[in-house]
Amino acid sequence: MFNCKQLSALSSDYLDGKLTSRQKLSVRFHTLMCKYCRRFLAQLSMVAAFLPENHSSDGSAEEIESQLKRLLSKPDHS
Amino acid sequence: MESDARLIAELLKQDQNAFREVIGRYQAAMLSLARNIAGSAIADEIVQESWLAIIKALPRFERRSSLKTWILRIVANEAKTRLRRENRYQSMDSGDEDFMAARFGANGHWLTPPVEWDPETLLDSEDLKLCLDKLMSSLPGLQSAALKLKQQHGLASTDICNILDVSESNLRVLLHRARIRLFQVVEHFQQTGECCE
Repeated sequence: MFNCKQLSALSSDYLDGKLTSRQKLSVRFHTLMCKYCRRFLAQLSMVAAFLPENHSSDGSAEEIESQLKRLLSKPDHS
Repeated sequence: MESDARLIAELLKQDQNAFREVIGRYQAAMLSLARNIAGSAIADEIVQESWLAIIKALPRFERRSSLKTWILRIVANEAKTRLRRENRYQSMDSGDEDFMAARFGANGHWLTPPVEWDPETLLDSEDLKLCLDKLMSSLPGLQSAALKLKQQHGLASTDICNILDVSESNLRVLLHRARIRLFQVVEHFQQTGECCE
């Protein structure tokens, strides 16, 4: 059975499904009893949601054309 | 993959519409990756260099990965080369500290447990977004790139390893460190309303 510190070290692997079945079971047992680790895992799994979205979505038609021009004007592109 | 094959064939014929299509599809992801690894100031240059490298290498593309993965791998390489040239490249070994260690007692139990969050308020906070933006640009490039490729582009681990040229276990370390740093910034913000120093 893990203690809280060991669980925190494996937390990211747990969220990404990279633990063995035995390790997964240990994490689940631990979090049944430990509200702080339960909270920590829940928070770690949501942190990426707070990340700002990429500003640049798909390129606009204008950007695409100017990139195309730059590309085709390079003499060594072929 | 089928559309990749058609696109590659047309690109090899120097078809302008194919160039338009490939730029429209991948330019944004390329810029984002270059920005994450090497910073905003030189991201645009890296993308330019990458396009030239892509066009040059296209006839030798072996289709072992998708076109997107192959293209992003070239961008990551260009960005890393650039960082090495400027002596700014941080290898996997740097920053090995365990950021969470101080929060546990000798028995391995929480000494400073995580505080409760108010996700609704946090999600709406523009200030927190600025803090996280700042954090993402201060993280070692491979960490922020790995996190973005995983969380925002939804790429599989094998593709991310391929793009960043790291092993599966290195990727796990990169993702863990990046998430822990994000966790710390969000928690600090929840407690103080401010960015970490």
